[in-house]
Amino acid sequence: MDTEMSSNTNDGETSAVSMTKLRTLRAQLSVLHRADGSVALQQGGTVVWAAVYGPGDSTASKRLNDRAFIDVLFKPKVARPVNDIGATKENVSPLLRGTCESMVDIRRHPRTLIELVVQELTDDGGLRAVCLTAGCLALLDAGIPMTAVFCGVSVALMPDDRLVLDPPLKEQKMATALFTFALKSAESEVEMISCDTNGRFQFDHFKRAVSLAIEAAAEVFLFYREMMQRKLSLG
Amino acid sequence: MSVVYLPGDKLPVSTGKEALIVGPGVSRADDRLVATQAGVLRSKQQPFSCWMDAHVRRYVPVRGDKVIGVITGKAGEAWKVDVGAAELATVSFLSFEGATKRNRPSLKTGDLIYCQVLLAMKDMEPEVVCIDSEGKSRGLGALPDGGLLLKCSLNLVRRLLSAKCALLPTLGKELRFEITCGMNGRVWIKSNSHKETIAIAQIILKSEFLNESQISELIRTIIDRCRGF
Repeated sequence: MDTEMSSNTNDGETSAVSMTKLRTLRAQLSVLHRADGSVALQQGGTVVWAAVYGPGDSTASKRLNDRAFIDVLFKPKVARPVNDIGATKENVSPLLRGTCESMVDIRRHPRTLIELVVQELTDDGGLRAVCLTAGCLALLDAGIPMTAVFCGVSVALMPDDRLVLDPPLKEQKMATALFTFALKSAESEVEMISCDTNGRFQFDHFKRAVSLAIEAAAEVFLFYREMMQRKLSLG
Repeated sequence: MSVVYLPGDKLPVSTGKEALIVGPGVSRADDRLVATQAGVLRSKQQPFSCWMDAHVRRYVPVRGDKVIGVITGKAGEAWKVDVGAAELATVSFLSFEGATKRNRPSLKTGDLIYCQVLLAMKDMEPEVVCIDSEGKSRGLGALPDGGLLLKCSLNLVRRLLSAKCALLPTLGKELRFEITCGMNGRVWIKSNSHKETIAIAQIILKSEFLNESQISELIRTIIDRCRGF
């Protein structure tokens, strides 16, 4: 089922003032017909595809007796060095896998494999966070049982001590630090569950970034509701 | 428009002292019911049961479901059957009508069977049978040769089988065909000619997101095209 939903009007191009709004989110669910769940997600200029296969059969090396094995494969478009501020499989896969393992009901399907493949199409900043959001949408599309929903939000700390929410690539390159937060929501309570940081910052910057991310995440979760409403309340 | 709940949402169902059956997509957290899949909440009275109507393509075996399986090989005194789940199911040689140790059913790899799930637990491999508790097949067993096996979402199959859906009765007035719907998202169709079989397959697959009036239009269009208009 193809559904498209856009939320909010900010395009995030200007950087004269502190950006406190997320860029426009657009998504299409079930884009890949062979996957159990999939999504094409666009946030500003960053575009990512994610697909979920499972719960399915696995090889012996990926079989756990008491829970499902979650395998996250991130496919970057460009090879970046391991410590790069951008997204690489070394930083996206563990972040996404850890988040999925706590959000997905893995005890319900022991000895199975849940595979999440995330493909980068365009990086216009905040790629790691967009991968998190796409991962959750793909899991929702597949109907994998979860205890809560999660999303990713990125915040950049600029040299003039300003925090920019969901920065485009131009801004991200000039940042002294980049925070990628994974946030979960059960009903309306939003909580940060994990974070990945690059660069140098003070703890105060971190605290402010967390509260900025928590506010912004509410918008993403509303977007999820609108997407699933569109998809499921037909027929 | 029905409300769609996301995982983690507390559901507006009271968990009082009366019996309450918690179905798929819903789980209990303390004294509240919580959604675990994104979907529409459905419920039924007497006894009160509720479940999430989520759009899922991957089948998870549930005891009592009638599914279409593909024989993939032998394992001792049983066949291994692919029902679309994470693990292969087994069907014993004796789980067919009139089967005895000397009189085995003649099935080979690749054959399709319409069977019922007998055992489905998360820690064990599923088991299916082609007879009921009285030893009668009642429509279960090997499917005839020929025909087309479709893979679709679980929701589509449930809709096809529901009393409210007029797709199959309407189609039955226009064309002659044999159809078997497995709760594992597999539909087997056999008609007089390949063209008609494909037309039926197209109608079924395209009807997933249409409402009843659009479905009769769809049937009309595809059948006319099939008949050459």
